[in-house]
Amino acid sequence: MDVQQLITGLRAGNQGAFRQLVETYQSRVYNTVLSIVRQPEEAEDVAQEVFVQVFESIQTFGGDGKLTAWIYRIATTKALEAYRKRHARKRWAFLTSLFTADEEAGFDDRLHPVDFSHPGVKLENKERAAVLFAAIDRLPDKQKIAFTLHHVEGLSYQEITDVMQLGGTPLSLSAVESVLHRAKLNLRKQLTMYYRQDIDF
Amino acid sequence: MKPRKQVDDQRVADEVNQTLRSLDGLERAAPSPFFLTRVQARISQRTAPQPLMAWVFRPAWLVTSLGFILLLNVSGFVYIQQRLSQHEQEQHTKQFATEWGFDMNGLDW
Repeated sequence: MDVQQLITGLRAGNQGAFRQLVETYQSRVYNTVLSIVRQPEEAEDVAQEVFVQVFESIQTFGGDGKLTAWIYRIATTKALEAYRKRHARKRWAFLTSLFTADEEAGFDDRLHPVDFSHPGVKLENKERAAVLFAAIDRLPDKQKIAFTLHHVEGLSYQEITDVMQLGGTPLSLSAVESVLHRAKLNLRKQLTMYYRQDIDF
Repeated sequence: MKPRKQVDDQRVADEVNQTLRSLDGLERAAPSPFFLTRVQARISQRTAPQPLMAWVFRPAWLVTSLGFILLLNVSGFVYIQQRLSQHEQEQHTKQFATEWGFDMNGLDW
């Protein structure tokens, strides 16, 4: 079943088409969501919601066959929503962080703890990846999404452009390149601070 | 021999580069084996017709209704208490007036 047949099947309410859709995309969706929300149970819940929304909105989908980009768009939007909701609950931690300078709060704080172990990371990289995920967590939303899609999901710059364009704002390939470049600069800055503190201690 | 600061900077740069490469070769994480079944259950739960007046059983409505009923009971009880005490007072005055031979209409109660 090709993508167009899959979309037609989904629009017709075909159970087989929906099963194929979930089986094809479940790992991509879950992996993306997990890298953003950083909690397996929450990621599973959000990933399920992504497919419910796909099921509910397939009639209005007009993405010129860019089904994959559309699903990634829903997944990243829902993951960011869940992430923001959880952070709103941690408002107390945020309030306390207002009274402490960034340097004092350190890299491993309550809002961005170095505690996430992605199950797909190689064993020898686990510790470093946890530090990197905590740094990604601190990035602005656009940079976080672009970096995650590129480095965790392996999407090309063009594919990331397709995903981010679906948000309504026109986005060029060079704009995505620039977002990724800024993300790397920010990460490098944060990590340098982290390892410098580590060495100083 | 390199100065200490230069050595430290090089060490930090190496750590940063290695950490930035730590996601290389990452394998996709997979959801639980019952993922599809759970999604289907969620969809059928959403699409199932909601029983009529289901909103009545929402906790917010239940608590509000119970609170309202309680308020009615309390206000009813207070009202009856007031009426009873007024009635008792009236009876008492009448008895007093009879005992002492007063004119009821002349008493200011």
